[in-house]
Amino acid sequence: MHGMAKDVTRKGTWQTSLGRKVIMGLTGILLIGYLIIHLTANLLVFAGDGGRLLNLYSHSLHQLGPLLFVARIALAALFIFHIITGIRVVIQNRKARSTRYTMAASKGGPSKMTPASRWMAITGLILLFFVPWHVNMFTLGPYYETVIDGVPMRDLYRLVVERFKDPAIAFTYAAVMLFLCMHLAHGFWSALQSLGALNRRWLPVAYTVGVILAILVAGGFFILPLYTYFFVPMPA
Amino acid sequence: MSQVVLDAKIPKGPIEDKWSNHKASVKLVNPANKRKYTIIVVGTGLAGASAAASLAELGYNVLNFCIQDSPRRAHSVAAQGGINAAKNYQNDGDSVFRLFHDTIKGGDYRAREANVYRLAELSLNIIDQAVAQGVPFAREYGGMLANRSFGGAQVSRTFYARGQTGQQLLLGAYSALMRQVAAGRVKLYARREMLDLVVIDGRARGIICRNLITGEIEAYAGDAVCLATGGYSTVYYLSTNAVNSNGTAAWRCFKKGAFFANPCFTQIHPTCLPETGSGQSKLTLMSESLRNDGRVWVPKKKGDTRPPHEIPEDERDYFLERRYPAFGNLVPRDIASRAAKAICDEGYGVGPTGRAVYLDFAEAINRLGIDVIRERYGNLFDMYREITGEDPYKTPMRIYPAPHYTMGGLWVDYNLMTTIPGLYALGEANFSDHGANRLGASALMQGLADGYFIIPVTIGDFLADHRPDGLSTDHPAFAQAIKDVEDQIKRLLSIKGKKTVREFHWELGRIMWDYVGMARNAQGLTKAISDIRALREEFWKNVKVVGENEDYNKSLEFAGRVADYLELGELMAMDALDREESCGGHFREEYQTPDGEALRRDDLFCHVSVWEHKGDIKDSVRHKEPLEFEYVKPTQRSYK
Amino acid sequence: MKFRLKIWRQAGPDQPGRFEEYTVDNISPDMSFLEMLDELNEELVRQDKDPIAFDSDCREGICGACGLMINGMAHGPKLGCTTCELRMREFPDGSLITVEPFRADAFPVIKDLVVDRSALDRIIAAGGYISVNTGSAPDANAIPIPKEIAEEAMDAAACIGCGACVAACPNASAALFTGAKISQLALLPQGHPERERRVISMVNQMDIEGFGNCSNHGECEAACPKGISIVNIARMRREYIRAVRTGGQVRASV
Ligand SMILES: Cc1cc2nc3c(=O)[nH]c(=O)nc-3n(C[C@H](O)[C@H](O)[C@H](O)COP(=O)(O)OP(=O)(O)OC[C@H]3O[C@@H](n4cnc5c(N)ncnc54)[C@H](O)[C@@H]3O)c2cc1C
Ligand code: HEM
Ligand code: FES
Repeated sequence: MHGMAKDVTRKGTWQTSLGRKVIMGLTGILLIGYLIIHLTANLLVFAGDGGRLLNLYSHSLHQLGPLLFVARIALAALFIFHIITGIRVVIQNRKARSTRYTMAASKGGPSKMTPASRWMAITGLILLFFVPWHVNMFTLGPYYETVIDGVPMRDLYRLVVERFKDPAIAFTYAAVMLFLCMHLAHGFWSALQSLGALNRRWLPVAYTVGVILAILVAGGFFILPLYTYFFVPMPA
Repeated sequence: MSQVVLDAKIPKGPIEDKWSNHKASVKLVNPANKRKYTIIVVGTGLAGASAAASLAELGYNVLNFCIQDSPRRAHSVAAQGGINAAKNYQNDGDSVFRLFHDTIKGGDYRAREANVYRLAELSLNIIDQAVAQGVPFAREYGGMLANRSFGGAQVSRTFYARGQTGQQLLLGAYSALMRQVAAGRVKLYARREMLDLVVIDGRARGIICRNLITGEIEAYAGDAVCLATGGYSTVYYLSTNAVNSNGTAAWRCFKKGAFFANPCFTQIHPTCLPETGSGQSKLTLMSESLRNDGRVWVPKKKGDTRPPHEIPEDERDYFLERRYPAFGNLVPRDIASRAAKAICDEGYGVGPTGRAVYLDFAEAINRLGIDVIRERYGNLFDMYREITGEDPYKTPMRIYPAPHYTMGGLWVDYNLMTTIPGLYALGEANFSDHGANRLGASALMQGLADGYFIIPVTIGDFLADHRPDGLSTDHPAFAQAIKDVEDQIKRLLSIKGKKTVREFHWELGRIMWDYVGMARNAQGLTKAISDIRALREEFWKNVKVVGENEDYNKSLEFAGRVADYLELGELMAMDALDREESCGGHFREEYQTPDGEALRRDDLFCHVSVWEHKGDIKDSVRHKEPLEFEYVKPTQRSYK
Repeated sequence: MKFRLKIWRQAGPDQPGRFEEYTVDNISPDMSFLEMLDELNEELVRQDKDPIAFDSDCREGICGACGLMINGMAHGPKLGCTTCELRMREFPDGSLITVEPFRADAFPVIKDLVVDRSALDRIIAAGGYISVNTGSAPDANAIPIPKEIAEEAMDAAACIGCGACVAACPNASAALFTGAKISQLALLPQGHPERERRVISMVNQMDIEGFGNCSNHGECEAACPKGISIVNIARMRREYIRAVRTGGQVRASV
């Protein structure tokens, strides 16, 4: 049996079960914020302008120079912080019940438990493998050049279309987005709840908004490769 | 027949000054010396938890024991209705004197005036203390505390926290207790059952417990012992009490020399869910407030098995309204209970067992609308539906009285000390404040007054005269007590008879209920005494206790408790036989007014019956503590 | 009614456990789940077998002593109900019912279906109180508390400490239990002086006991016999964030 803890420190840290959830919530929400911006930009593929706007956007980002570098490092740090904390959380959770139930079922009612909430670690892990693949494919991919309005710049559009014309890539990408959808469906409201932002009134609202947001964001990323594969012509 | 003079140690002076005078004159223990004293507190209910916490706050070293796995589960947690206090926040004329008066009258003039006055006085501090602890009592929109009215009072003085007042008060006391546990001043021993008291040189010096997980028999020594182990209603087997409630601790103290007062004073609560058949483990209380709008009836025809809605109005007997036209369905608990039992005894009872009466809301629903009824009693109706599967909005509830509270208990003086020096009894375990009938919402008040405010003062008076002597459990008296306890356990385990403990308990409950229940008579009580003796004899020959001591063993736990009840039951019957009058919950059929009301005999029985153990139960000796009423003059109750 | 029961038997904390099958017959639909087990135990005693160990006391849903995993659900399938209040009519006649103890590493099994929940007491001891010595309280009406606040505090205070929230949580987290107490005391003005120390100390204790994190599944609220809401967990987190930001020091009231 456990003895009465004598060593309870009276100082709080972010490395308690509650503190870690604050970290998860904060990093998660910021990552969602990034995803929304990222998606908005990617939707430029649908502009039907042969990639003009997309390339201009990408080019303007690159003009930021060192700022972009800092932003990327920050994003990577967020991502890594989120992952490391997530892994620690999951390890602690598994340790908290080393003997599993033979039979477990939800009572329903007010429960918010869904496959999405149960699979956060798995969907997260899928994203963990997906993100480097994705970065490697686009950010670090071949450098095609194009000239828009007399300015030479990277032809990202061409790269995107080219890759998404490969059915393996397009369909894998789309499939991963289904998992993203799950991660976000629980993640959004959960992050707000983890940050203590919800009360009786806002909790149900946040839950619904989260599900809608997940469908919109992941839906956008889901349609993108498929649309490209089926409908976007290969640029000359 | 009694030579022993029982000195209640009531302080001199006018009643309103007694407690303050007493506080001002008791001896004190030097603050620096307090930690050298060890006080054993058995029980973590309202009385025990509040005592343990308050004594530890003063600096004493406290050992606190309970049967449950956590102190928060003590039976006080189940109290629903509320707690009285003479705050007069409603400006309706309440005062300490009025609460004192109501409690003495409600107890049918069988309680000690000085104690009850002090209780009424302390009621004020209890509410303050509880609120400061964070007890979320019900409030008005203005932010002030809300009150409701309760039986036996014409003022609104009951404080409540929804239907969970006992729980919230207990959690308050428990949180204070856990604070002291964290501070190291209270050592908590959960899942322990006290099985004996250790008396050395005539003074209570320790207890023997069984560890309910390992079976180990443990000894603990101290400078004083406070018993706050609750009441013994489970002697009836079926009662509103928790299944682990028991009389064992008090009973074993009785056998070690503590006198037992008024064992026959028990309260049967009128509005409980009836028995449903065999296998039932307890009876659930439904708040008394239901009688405000419900009408009690039975069919006029014996053994009428028609469903209630098919029985026309003129074939129904609203027997309370018929017999008590002035108070109708709102007669006091004892009267309502007795009337229901009588009508069922005559064969008019309803339901599958024939031991229930209807509590019908149809008329109130018609008059007030279903929404009003839902607002007033919604949670109770839901609870009823949960348990019975019937909808009380459509079909009348079936209710029946059930044993609920025991006013009797260990005799204590004004300081709450029993006849064994250094042994105190608190809360429902003592007999002190409720006389022959307890008013609703006053048990919580008493338990907390005893624990928070009385014992911390009075125990110092005793300890100041008894220096700590570093007694350890190596003293031979502990070895002897351990051996006695172990011997009894071995004996129980070795009988290996045919009948289970529960069967014995059930049979005892039947005898108690039939003959020592709501209505008693000499013939029945004599029969009960011989039946209990026979059952006890059979128990010790034929009980079947499985398993071993060194284990979590409910069968063994209950065997010990039932063994004690088989003795306590007999003493209850003896006391009831001895008290040839009717008062409060004690109704002797031979002593009633021509119209069937309780007939008190103040000339002969205006006393506390105090029993002393003398070997066999039948040899127990009854002493008397005469009761004097200076401030509230006894009158006859009438509710016609 | 008749039932087949698959019940977890385990002789002691360090012994291996296993399921055993029993059949009970002649069960009244009005019986509570525990009364049904009482019947089975009577039968086992008659056959000189070790009865099934389980905890219970009040048998009316308020003490929190009882608690079993019934068909994979804490306190069985019915919402807002303790095991002792659960009636056999909730189960189809003749069905198979699986019964396991509440499982969490912080709740070691003592025997069969009995577990040690003293970790919850230690969380309370770490700070689930208001430090007020007996006798030092001001008049009860000295501090008015708006009815809504008092009601909200009461909602949180209704916790019976049964541990169903921990049992039902996929992570065996005690966030609802701890959050309910912290909420109650944070809502009431009496609890404010110690709020920072309280939340930090209780959360630390929760971790020391080995409970998991809260992933916001909300299973706890569904399992809670008193329907205590997870908004109390959010409130605990607010309290925690505030306390960490002030370094656990009492923030000067403005
Ligand atoms: C259903 C119900 C509703 C009620 N409603 C109200 C109400 O609304 N208002 C009111 O004023 N009163 C009410 N009462 C009465 C009141 O609740 C009790 O009288 C009171 O709470 C008793 O408190 P206590 O501290 O004396 O004992 P309990 O709360 O019974 O505590 C007994 C303690 O002693 C321990 N114990 C017992 N035996 C042993 C042993 N042998 N060894 C070690 N420990 C032992 C137990 O573990 C427990 O901790 C109600 C009672 C019931 C049953
Ligand atoms: C696009 C990338 C990602 C986004 C936008 C994102 C977003 C979120 C959000 C908002 C939450 C909710 C936080 C909370 O409940 O407090 C969350 C939780 C979680 N995330 Fe991510 N995440 C991403 C990637 C990842 C990755 C790569 C992992 C890797 C393992 C991961 C693992 C987790 C886990 C385990 C949780 C649940 C923690 C818990 O149990 O409470 N996530 N995520
Ligand atoms: S036994 Fe008390 S809550 Fe179930």
